[in-house]
Amino acid sequence: MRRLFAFAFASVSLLVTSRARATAEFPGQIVTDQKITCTNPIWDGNGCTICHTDDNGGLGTATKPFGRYMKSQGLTPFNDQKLAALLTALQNESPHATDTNCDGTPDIDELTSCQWPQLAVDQCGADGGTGGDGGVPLTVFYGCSTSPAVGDGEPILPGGAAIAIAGLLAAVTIRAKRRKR
Amino acid sequence: MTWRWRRRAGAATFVMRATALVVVACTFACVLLASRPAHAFPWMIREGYTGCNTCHADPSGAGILTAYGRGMEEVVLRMPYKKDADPGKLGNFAWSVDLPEQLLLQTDFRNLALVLFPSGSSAQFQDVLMQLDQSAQLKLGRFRMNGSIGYSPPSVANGEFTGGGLGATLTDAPGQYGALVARQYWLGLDIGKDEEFLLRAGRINVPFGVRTIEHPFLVRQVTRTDIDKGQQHGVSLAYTGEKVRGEIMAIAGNFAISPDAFRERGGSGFFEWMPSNKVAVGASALITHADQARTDYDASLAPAPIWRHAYAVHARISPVKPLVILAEFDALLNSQLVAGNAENHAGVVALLQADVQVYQGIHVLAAGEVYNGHIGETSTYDTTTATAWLGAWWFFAPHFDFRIDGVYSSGSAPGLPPSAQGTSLLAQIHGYL
Repeated sequence: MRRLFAFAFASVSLLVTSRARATAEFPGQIVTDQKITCTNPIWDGNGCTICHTDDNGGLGTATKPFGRYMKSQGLTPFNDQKLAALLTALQNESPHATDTNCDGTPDIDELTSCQWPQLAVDQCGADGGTGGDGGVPLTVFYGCSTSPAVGDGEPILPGGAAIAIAGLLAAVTIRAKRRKR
Repeated sequence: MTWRWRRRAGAATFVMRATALVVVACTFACVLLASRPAHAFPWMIREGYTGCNTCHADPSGAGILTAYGRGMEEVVLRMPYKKDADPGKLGNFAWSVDLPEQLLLQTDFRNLALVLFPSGSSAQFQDVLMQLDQSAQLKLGRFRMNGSIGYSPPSVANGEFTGGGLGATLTDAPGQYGALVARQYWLGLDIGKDEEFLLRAGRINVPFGVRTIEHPFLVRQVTRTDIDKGQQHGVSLAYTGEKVRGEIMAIAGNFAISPDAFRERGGSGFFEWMPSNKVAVGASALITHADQARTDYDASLAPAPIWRHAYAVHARISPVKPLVILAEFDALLNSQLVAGNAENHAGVVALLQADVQVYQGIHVLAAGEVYNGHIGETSTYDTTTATAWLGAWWFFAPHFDFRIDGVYSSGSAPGLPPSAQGTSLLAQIHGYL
């Protein structure tokens, strides 16, 4: 029975798709990865707010344009490797173009020049880009294998399968308890 | 043999059985996967059937038929050609196969010939393979594994996948070879003395409003609760009683679309009270949040986070046996935060449908709908779309039905293609094994 519980726990932990949550080391990692040398890069400790609604972070709070964009590209909590890969992709744009908050300055340039407070402000209007050139309208992808969110460290199975397996295991457990009685 | 030995032996057997079940479940969920609407006839209340679970594996309706449902189709739905004729095994799988009672199988085929008369342009003809699905359910004790898999071909017109099921595709889409679609796949546990509860996890029809086969109805498209592609992944608990039934669902998102920002998470549920076997009234609620609104689905939305609300009341009434009235009224609210400013859009969508069974097996249907998603706003979106349906349906042979519809739509609505505006003529044939 212990093995069964262990299997259930491991399955759910490994397979269920995670949502991006605040990951405290991300701002510091951006500074390190991009070798940012200007003073006060993470904005007096408010660096989380380039993605999240406030510095407390939390589930469902990465609603700023840059946060939504990074999630759409597959960034998940505590995935430093993925964060580094995404930052590298932004740096490799020639010229730098991704401007998720529509303020006219590419996001990667705002990060490296310590304009994090500006990056935290959503200037996209209802049309997706009245605040300046650029903007990154997200595109819907269909099908399990088209997901740009599937990448390093991402779960292999779709969430539905994981949920289904978890449900089955719960059912098996309930039945086992009944049999014991 | 001591009791300790017996206990250990029993535990080992249980672990082996559980492991086998998990393997079967994994195989089923990951390899077979899926489903698609087959039937969803809320007007069966005319026969005194207020609930859905007697005829459908899904307790809230639609999808694979139970053995009883197959029998009912032959006895009360299909046109009879001989008085009091015994249908025998005609309702069985493939008209004759006796399946084990634990197993349900259903193969569905549905083809649509569509002529569009868009406003201001010439007529267009389309032939659409709406459905080619294999559904299955395996019930072992109180455990259920349910799902189906289907194929959706590319459109004939341009060789690209434009057909139904986007939002339920397993394979890459669009693609020149079409796509595999998986509309439902779930594991379930029947609970209660009479198995009146069903706990499910997987990809499930969203419990909201009247569950009907007419998936293009505005009440289903606007609320994104149709049985064609509107399913979501999550966990649900359904209850079916003599006078009350309902279902609540925790929505984890549709994992057949990406990126994650578009996935809606929240909850949905409905309950229905049946004061008599000819009257059912109910209410529904749906609240979801997504980090990014589907502007491709609803062009009036901003590309920003969205809270989507829908609240509905509905009724199914059969005042006399030939007539069934279906009605649903939905209040809508889309709430967004755009560039730091709150934008709220209130709206309504309503359906009134009459189904008249002129003779067993022949139905005439008329429906009207209205939709406005931006009431009281100064934007150009503050317009009302009205649609009218008139159709005839003939259940002409065992496992076969034929249907023609004329539809007029004065405007557009979320989820409907621009070509839906204007007049459309539809002829569809459906068969199943």
